Amino acid sequence: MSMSKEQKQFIRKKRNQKILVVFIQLFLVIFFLGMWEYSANKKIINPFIFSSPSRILECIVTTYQSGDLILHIFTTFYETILAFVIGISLGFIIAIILYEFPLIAKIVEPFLTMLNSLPKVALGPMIIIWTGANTKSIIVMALLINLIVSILNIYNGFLGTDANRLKLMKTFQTSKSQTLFYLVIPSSKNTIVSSLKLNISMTLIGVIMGEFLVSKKGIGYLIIYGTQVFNLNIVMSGILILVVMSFLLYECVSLFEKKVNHHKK
Amino acid sequence: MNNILTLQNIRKIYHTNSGEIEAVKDISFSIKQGEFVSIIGPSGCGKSTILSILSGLEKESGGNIACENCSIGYMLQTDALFPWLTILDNAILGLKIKKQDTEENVRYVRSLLKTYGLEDFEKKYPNELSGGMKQRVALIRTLALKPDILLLDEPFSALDYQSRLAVSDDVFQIIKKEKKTAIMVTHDLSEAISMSSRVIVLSKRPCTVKHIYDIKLSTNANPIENRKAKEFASYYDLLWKDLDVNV
Repeated sequence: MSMSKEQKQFIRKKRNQKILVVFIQLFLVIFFLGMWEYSANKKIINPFIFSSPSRILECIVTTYQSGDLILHIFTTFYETILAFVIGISLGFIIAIILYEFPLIAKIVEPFLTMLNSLPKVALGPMIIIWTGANTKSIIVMALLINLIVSILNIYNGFLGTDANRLKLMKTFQTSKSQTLFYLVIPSSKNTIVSSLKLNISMTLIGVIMGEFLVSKKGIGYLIIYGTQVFNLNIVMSGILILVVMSFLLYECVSLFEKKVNHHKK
Repeated sequence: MNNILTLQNIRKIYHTNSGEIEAVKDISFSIKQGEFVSIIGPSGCGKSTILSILSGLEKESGGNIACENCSIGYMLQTDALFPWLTILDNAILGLKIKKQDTEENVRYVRSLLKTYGLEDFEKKYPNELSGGMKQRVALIRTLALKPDILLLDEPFSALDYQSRLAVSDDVFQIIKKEKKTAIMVTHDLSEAISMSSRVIVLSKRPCTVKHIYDIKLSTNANPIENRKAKEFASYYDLLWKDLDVNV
């Protein structure tokens, strides 16, 4: 098929715009890093407080060579995945219970809303006392932050099931579990998958929060440790690794979402 | 011919916070094998409630339903197809749920799809079909369970006017060809006259049967042709007056 001149022009215009966007983004990053490095070297800003890209890189390399870096990354990664999986599974199961037993849903609704609006970080110190200063309390912290949101999201997805389709299922005299597995869960798939995206960010917040409070390893620990010894290079390295990590985790979930939804447009 | 379904003094009361609402007061009628009967009535008069009771979605508050061979299929206002299932999977949904998806029954559904021009769409998804085709799939999904009586609850109201004419023609022919008995609720008088052999007119809520009209058109053909019958206008006039619509 040959393209008309106008169509070609249209495609080219779109592509040029895309290239421009990427180019400017790259430029901004390089400019920012360059300015940072330059002003730190020329002592325009205090490198002791603001660090600099080269110092951060150096710090990451030395931490890596000492073998600690992989340990920290792995710890945070492991805790995040664990809390994420537990949060989603529990959220899914509890949402099903709430959906299947409206009476229970009615009873617990105000409590869920209350818990949801409570800044969960406030419970941190208490959790340490209850569960001890170990990985367990970090997982609990992360669960506190991701679980309620997961429950509410998935439950609302279930409630959004099309009334006509529910009626159709009733005309087939389906059992409760049939309606759930044939209709309610598949039709909430999009909501569930998009709640995964929210959940992964929430979980990471919870894990870092937990690591701030207790821990001997993990990226959160690295950042707190850096602050305590007043080595901003370590702090910035931790933040940089965290940025990359959260971006990668989010992209993984997005990729999964695209895969799940590919046949439905 | 025998009556396949008889309703006697059906009554339905809903309970709400603000009190009891009598939706259906006293409904009696019977349907013969192979008939196409329409129920019309003012908005909100409880037409759909009657279908819900017949299909077992709701329990009547009083009265009697006698049904000799009671397997009932229900066709809803919208196609209610599942977008994540293929056309074939949608069509055999009822069979699957009732665990009757035997090879023979699936073959029957596929033959229906073939007969009604959907063979090439078996592996497609609902969003790739036109509104009329989707409605046909919905009908085949209902027919898959081999019901004796079909209940149609304003089955074309979600379609635009032109598709509506075409699809009602389509559905009518399928029902006749498969020799099914059908009860259709509609608010469209022309649709009722052109499709049915009898029209039941209900009163305002709480509804009772006002009149039952036998429709005899000289054309005696498909719904689109029937609209051209010379008696059509007088039936329309009769039903319109009987509905007693005040705006």
